[in-house]
Parts: sequence; C-alpha cells; structure tokens
Amino acid sequence: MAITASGTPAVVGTYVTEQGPLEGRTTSSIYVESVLGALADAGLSPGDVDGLVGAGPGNPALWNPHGVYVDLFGTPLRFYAEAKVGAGSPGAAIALAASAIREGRAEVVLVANAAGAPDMAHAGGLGADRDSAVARMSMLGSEFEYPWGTTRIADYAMYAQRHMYEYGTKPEQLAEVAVAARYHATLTPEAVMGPRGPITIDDVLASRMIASPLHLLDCCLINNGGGAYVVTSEARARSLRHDPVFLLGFGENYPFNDRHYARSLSGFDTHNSAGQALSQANLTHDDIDLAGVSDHFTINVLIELEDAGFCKKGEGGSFVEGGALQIGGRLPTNTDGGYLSHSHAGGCGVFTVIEAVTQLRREAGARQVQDATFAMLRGTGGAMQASYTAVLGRDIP
Amino acid sequence: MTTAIPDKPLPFRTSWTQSFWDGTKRGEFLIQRCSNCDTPRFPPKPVCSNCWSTDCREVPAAGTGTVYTFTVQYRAGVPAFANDVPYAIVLVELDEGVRVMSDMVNCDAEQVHIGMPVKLVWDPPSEDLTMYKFEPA
Ligand SMILES: [Zn+2]
Repeated sequence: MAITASGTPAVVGTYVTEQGPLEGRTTSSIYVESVLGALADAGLSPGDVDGLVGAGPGNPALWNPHGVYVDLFGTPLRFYAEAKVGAGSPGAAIALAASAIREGRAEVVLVANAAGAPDMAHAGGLGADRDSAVARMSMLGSEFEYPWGTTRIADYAMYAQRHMYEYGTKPEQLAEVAVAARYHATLTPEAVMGPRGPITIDDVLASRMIASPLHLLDCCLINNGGGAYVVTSEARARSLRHDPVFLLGFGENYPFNDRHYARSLSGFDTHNSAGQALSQANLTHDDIDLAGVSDHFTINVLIELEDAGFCKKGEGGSFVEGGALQIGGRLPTNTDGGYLSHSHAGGCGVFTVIEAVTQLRREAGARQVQDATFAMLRGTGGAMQASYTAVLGRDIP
Repeated sequence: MTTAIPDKPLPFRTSWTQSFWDGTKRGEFLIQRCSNCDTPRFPPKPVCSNCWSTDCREVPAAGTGTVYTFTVQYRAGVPAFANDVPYAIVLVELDEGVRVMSDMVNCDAEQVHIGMPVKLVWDPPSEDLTMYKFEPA
C-alpha cells in the first residue's frame, strides 16, 4: 500500500474534564465535553474528524462501538479501530491513529475516554463505586484463577511478592512511587487527591494492608472523569495553533494471559518495545526528559521502568529511591499524579498521553519539567498481560 | 445483623478442561504431557507451547510443590470471600514443573512465604465438582 501522508503524525489537541465522583454526571455528557474540548484546543470541530480509535461512551459490547460516536456528533467516519491494552488502550490508540493517518485512511483521528453514571442502552464500564468495580475486576481472571478469590490487587501483589523475593525490593521503595504521584497531584488542578496534600513513605506503609505487600496507598483511585486528544498529519499539525507533539516511536508486548502460563511474573517485556520505540525515534534513554507509566499499583512502575530499560532488571527499587520520580528528580514520572493520585477514570491511559503532551508543549505550569522535549510512555492493561511503549517529542530527531 | 454470604464463583468448564475436572472427582490432579516433547502443561489446553504438537497424554501429578508467589488478601474482591479474610492466594510450582493457583488452608495465612513446601488437598463444594486447595506439606 502506498504511503499517502508523509511526515510524522502529531497530537494537536487535548482536554481533561474535572475528575472525581462527579455525582449526577453521565458518561455521555463527560464524553461530549472531552471531545469538544480537545477539538476546540486544536482549533478544530467534530466536522473535521474522520477517524476514531476506541469505543464511544458506555463501552458498548455490540459489534458497532463506533456507532455511538457517529450518532452523537452526526459525523460519519472513514476509520475506526480499537487498541486492546486494557486501561492503557487510549494510550496505545495513538499508534493506530498515526498509522491510519500515514496510510491516508484518515486525517483527523480522535481518541476519547469517559467514565460517569451509565446513561445509554448498552452502558457498561466500571463506574466510581469502588465495591462494584473491585468485584467486577475480580472476575477478570481465568477459570483457574478467579475461583480462589483473586482480585486485580492480588494479581499485582503476587508480582510484587515475587519481585521482592527475586531482587530484594522493599515496601519503602514501592512507596516512593506513591509519594511522587501524590506530590505531583498537589500541583495538578483537577487531580482527585491533590487537595489531600502530600504524603510520606511512612504514610504509605501505615495505610492498611489490602493484599500483601500492597497497602491502600499503593493502589490506584477509582473515580469518574474524562479526557480526549486529537491526532493529525504533520502538515496539518504545523498549521494549527499549538506546538505539535509527535509520535516518534512505538511498540507493544503481549506476554501471556493466564498467569499459570507466564514465563516470568516480575518482568513482562517480551519484545523490548522500549528499545524498538527508541530506535524508531533515533533516541536513547538519556534523551528522555519524563515518563508516563501506568501506575494502577506502585509495583507496576518499578517493573515497567526496568522493562523499559531505564535500569537493570531488579534495580527498579533503588532507581526510584530519593525522589527520583519527582519533578526535578532523575526521571520525572506521572507528573500529573498518575492513576494513584490524579485519576483512574475508565480508560485512564488517555491521561498519560495528555499529560505528556502538556509537558512537551511546556504548558504544565507549576509542574512543568524544565526543557521537556522527549517523553516515554509505558501503558499496561489488565494485570500487565498487555503493554505498549510510545515515545513522544516536540522535535523530530 | 447478619448478611448472607453468596456462594463462591465456580470455574466454568470447557471441552478442554472437562477431563481435568472428571479427574479431581476421582482424586487425581491431571496435568498434560506433550506426547512429542514431554513438556508438562497446566491448565489443560489443546496444543503444546514448546513444540506445538496437539498430541498429549494426561498424567496424575504427585500433588506436592513449593510456593512460587502469593499474597495475603485482607479485603475480599467479591462478597463470597468476605468471611475468609485474611486468606492467602498462592501460585504453587508443582514438582512436575507446572504452576497451579489456589488458596492455602490449614495454616496461618501470614505464615505463607515463597519457597514454602505445600501439598494438594481436595475440597468438594458439591457432588458435581471437586476443587483443590493447598496446605503446608
Ligand atoms: Zn511439545
């Protein structure tokens, strides 16, 4: 197939709604606000959109997840796709959007995510009720896993136990991740936990144990909210109002599904997706100014930073010590507060992209990483059975 | 006030796994061994991950192994486990080389650790189904 759009596709518009319980707000109202907000940020309108990655509001399980979007805005599409990286899907979506643009199958592709009160015929989603969300996620394992009372937290806790056993990782090191996330949340206006103020390593260790070794403050939020971003061709991106943020490299890993079959439970990068993405971007780890790493639980971040090659396997614990993940540290990570302290609303991978774009545009205000030029995103889904690496930049090396 | 605790979720059974559940009713924990390369596998599936042969035989495991990883749950994910907390979920490496997930019984959950020797015990929730758990060996 001939490549019909030269250049490097870029994110040109982003938007984040308020985050929190959002009592009384429906999923579709949050979705519509996110879509219109991101398009307005780009200086575009729904009439410009010809591609969509990811289902419309309500996670419709039917054959036509694109139909909700088309009917909401009354704008037919010529491209639709879905990434399947769990909560990281709206992050991995950026590569599908870029591919469609490069191949000339779409010019303006939207990625949007919203979680709120159900309001449509096929409404699904986890919602902000913690008990029901935890219960639904507890049944996501295989038939040889869920009968034993597993939870999503237990899945990650078993990885953490193994990581601690193999590498001597300490609970204090896991807590560093939560401390950095909370600090960043205090600098992010819409972050759910920002108003609660900063926390210490001791606060994390003193919070109640949920699934050993993970404490309450090692676990992500469950809340409502939305966000969206818009991707277009390099040529069109350069004509729009913001500095474009380019997708420079990308890769994925799908290591296993059922944990019985996993080759490792302390590392999941079967195909060196970070190496692949950096190579495509003509960059090395030293060029990366900030990271956005799925932090459903603190252990994710240690494993992902190791798998991404920022340190050797097993050295994630010492890598994050001493505030290394905080703005001003060695590798500012999840500078909006992440899923731990900013938002874990539905397909929260959307926020990982949006925050990187905000930083690379150098519009992050009080939490701006100085001279931010390149970012690496590591998104995971489920219990890390799927992951992606994306490298974004404000320059094209 | 008492709250009714719902029944625990039971495994759904497929054509791949029916003979495994038939085995547990007889007191046998069947694992598969590839007829071509002898690689053991569990849970049951119709193809070998080592050589992709579809021929296999079912052999009973001895039922002994060690804890590969675990977690102690202090909060139940689904209400059916509310009375069980704290309980330890273990992923056990059987001596035959396959891993098996289940719960630990007959011990203090907080004493469970990686490398702990364990053995299978049977737990029939109904006449139709025999489940399995682990206890200290
Ligand atoms: Zn074989």
